[in-house]
Amino acid sequence: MLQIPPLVKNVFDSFPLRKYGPVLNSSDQSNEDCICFGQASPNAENQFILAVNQTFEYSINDKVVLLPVDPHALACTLILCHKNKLTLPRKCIKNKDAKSANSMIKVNYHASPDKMLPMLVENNIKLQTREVRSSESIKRLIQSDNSFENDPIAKLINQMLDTELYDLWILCLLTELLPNHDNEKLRRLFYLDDSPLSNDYTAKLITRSIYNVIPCWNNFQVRYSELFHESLGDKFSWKELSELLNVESPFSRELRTSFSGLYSELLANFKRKIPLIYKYTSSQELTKSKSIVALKFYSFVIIVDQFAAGTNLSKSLEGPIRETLIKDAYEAIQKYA
Amino acid sequence: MTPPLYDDSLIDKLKSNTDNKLSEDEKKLAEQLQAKSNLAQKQSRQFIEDLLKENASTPINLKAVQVNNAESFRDGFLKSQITPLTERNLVTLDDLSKRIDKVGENLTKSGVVENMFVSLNPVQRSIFGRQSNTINLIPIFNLAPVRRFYAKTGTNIGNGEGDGYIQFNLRNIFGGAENIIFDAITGTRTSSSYLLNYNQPVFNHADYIWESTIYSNLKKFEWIKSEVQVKGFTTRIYTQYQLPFNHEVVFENSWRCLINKYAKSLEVFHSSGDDIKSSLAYNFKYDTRDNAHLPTSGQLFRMGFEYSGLFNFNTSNFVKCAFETQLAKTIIPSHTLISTIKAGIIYPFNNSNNLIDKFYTGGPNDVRSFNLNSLGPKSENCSIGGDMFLNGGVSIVSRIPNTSKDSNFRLHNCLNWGNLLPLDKGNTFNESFKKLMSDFSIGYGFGLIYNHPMARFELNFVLPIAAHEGDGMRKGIQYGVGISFL
Repeated sequence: MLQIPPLVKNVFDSFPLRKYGPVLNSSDQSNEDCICFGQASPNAENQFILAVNQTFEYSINDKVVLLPVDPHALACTLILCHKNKLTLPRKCIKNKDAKSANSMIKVNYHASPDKMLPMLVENNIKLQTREVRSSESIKRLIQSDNSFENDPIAKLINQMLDTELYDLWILCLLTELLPNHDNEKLRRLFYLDDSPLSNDYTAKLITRSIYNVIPCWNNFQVRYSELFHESLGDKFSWKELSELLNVESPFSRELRTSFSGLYSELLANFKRKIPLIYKYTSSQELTKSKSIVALKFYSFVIIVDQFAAGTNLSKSLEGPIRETLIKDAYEAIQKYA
Repeated sequence: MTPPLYDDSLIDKLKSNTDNKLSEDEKKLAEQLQAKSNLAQKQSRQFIEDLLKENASTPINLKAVQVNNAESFRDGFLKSQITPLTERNLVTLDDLSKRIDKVGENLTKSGVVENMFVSLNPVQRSIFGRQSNTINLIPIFNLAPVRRFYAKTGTNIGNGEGDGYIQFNLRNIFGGAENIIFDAITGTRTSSSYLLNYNQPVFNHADYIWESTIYSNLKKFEWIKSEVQVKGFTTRIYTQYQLPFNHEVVFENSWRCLINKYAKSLEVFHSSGDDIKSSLAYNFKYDTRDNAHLPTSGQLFRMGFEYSGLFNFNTSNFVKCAFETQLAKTIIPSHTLISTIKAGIIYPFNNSNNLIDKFYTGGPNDVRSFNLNSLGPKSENCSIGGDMFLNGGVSIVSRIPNTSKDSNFRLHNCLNWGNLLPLDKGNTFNESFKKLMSDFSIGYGFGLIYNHPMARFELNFVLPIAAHEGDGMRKGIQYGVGISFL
C-alpha cells in the first residue's frame, strides 16, 4: 500500500491551524419556561425529554400539573413517574430550576419521524449521547421491561389497550372531535400556532394536515389498510374534490362511512370489555405488569373524560361503573402529584 | 497474401491525381477569380459602411412598418413592440438603425420569435412630390415565430444539486408573449417538484415581466436531517433591461411543513410542523460583469429585502436583508482577480426564526474547504443555521501556461472566509457586528476550473485554515458545480 510520507501527513493533519470554540446557539442559554418532572436525582446519568402533542392543566391538591392530551402520552408520563419515582410535570424555568433535568416539551407531530407522539429523548450525560425513542419503540420497551411475559392476561390486556383502545381514540378524533370544525378544541388537542387558526382558510389547511396524519398513528392505516383502498376515481372525482374544499373532513364519503362502521364495531367491543378490564385493574393484587396496565387504562379514561365529552366514546363509559372508574382513574394519578 | 481492400498508397495516388488535374494556368486563374470575388465583397461592404457613415444624418421618412408572418401576434402587442419605429416618422439613418435594433431586442426579449430578418424597402417618390433630400423607407420585419408548444426533458446542474426534469411549454398563447410552463423535477435534493408558471409582459412592455407560479415541492434539508414540503403561489414583477440595473418585486404565499426524518435536535423538533408564510420582497441587481459564471471584468451588486408576516394568519414573521457584491478585474494579462462579499441578517418578530428561513453557509460553492451548509450553530450534529452571516472570498483565476487564450480550463487559487451566528436580541448592533467580524472560519484551495457556458465546474485541493468546533471541515479534494461561486 502507498505510504504517505510522515512529513506530508503531519503537515496535512496540522490543518486547521486555528480552532475556535463552538458557535453557541442562542436557545442554549435562554431561560425560557419549560415543563419539568419533579424530584429527579441530581446525579442521574440519564435525563429524558418527553415530546408530546399538547398538554392541559390539572389541579391536584392545589398543585397545577401539566398532563399530555393523548392517552398514550399520558400513560407514558405516568409510567415514567412510576418507574423513576418522579412527580408529575409542572412549569419551571429552564437552566435555572434544578428540577429541569427531566422535562416535557410540546411539539408538532411532524417532529417525530413516524409522525406520532409521544417521543422520548434520552440524554446520557456521561457519554454525551442522545437517543430518540419513537412511540412504537416506547410501547415495546414498556412491554419488555415489565415482566409481561410472565403474565399472559396482562400482556393480552396491554395489547388490547395499545391497539383497540387507541384505535378508538383515533376514530373518535376522525369522526367526532375534528369534524366539528371547532378551533378551540383543535387548540386544546394539538400544539398549534394561534395565527393560522384566526383565518378560516388557513385553519382548514391546518385541519386537513392533521386529518392526513392521524391515520398514520399507531399503524392504524396499516392495520385497517382495506379501508384506505380507494380508487383514483373515488379520490379525485369533481364532486368529491369540491366537497374536500368545503367540508370539514377531507376523506371520501365511502371512507367516512367505513370509519363510522369500524368505530361502532370497536365501541360495542369496548362496552363489553370495560367491566372486565376494570375488574382486572382494580383487583388488590398489584403486580409490576398489572400496575402498568392500570396506568394505561386510567390514562385512557381521563383523556376521554377531559376531551371527549358528548361523544359516543364518552357515552360508552356510561353505566354503573362510570363514576367509580373515573374516580379511581384520577386517584391513580394523584399519587404522582 | 491477398492485398488489403483499401490501400492507403492507392488513395494517396488518387489524391495526387486530383491535385494534378488542374494545370498551372488554371490554378492561377482560379486564384485570380477568388481574389477578385473577395475584393468585390470587401468593396461592397466598404461602400455600405461609407454610405451609412456619410449619410448618418440623412433624414429618413418612415412611410410605414411592415411585419410579415405576424398572424400569431395580437395587434396591440405588435404595435407596442414596433413603437420605436412608429413614434416618429422622420429619423436619421443612424437613429433608424438603433430603432430597428430596439424593435429586434423587444421581440427577442419577449421570447416570441425564433428568428428575424429585417430589410429596408425604398418607396418611389410620387411624380407630383416635392424634390428633397429625404429618403422614404419601409422597414420590413420577416418573423419566424416560436413554436406554440414544445416539451423537453433533461438534466440540470445547480449549486450542489443535480436533477432531471420534464417541461411542457405553451408559448405566446394569446398572441402577446403569454407563456405557460409546467415543470416536473426530481433530483438529488429535490425529491419532487411540480410547478405551473404563467408569465407575460406588463402592458406589452418587453422590459417588464409579470410572472405567477403555483408550486408544490418536497426538498431534502440534509443538514437538519429533515424534509421540507412547500405548497404555494408566488407572483413576481421584474425588469429585464439591457442596462446593468434590474429590479424585482416578489409577493409570496406558501404553506410550508418541516418534516423531521432522523434529527435529534430540539431546535428541529420545535421548528417541525406547519408554517404559513406571506411575504413581500424587493430585489435589486447591478451587474456589469462580462460573464456571470467566471467574469474577467465588471462588478456585481445585488441586494434583497424581505418582509414576512403580511397577514395575521402568518406564522413566519421576520424581516430579512441580504446583499452580495463581486468585483472582477484582470490584474495582469492571463490573471483575473475575483473578490466577493456576501452578508445577510434576519430579524424575527417572534421569539426565534423558523429553521427554514435561516441562513446556511459553507460548501464548495460558498466557503470552500467546508461541507455544504456546515458552518454556524450546531445541535446534535445538525447545522441549525444562523440569523446573520458574513462571507468573503478572493480568487485568482489564471490561464494554464501553453494553452490557447480561448481555453475553458483555468487554474484557480482561492481564500474564503465566513461567519454565521445566531442573533442575540439582547446585544446591541455594535456588539453583534463585532461578533460577526471576529473568528472567521477560513479555507484555502487551489485547483482547476472548467467554465462551461451552462455552469462552472471546479476541482480544488482545499485546506481549512481556521475553523469552529463542530464545523464540517473538508480536507483534500473538493468538487463544485454551479452558476455562482464565492
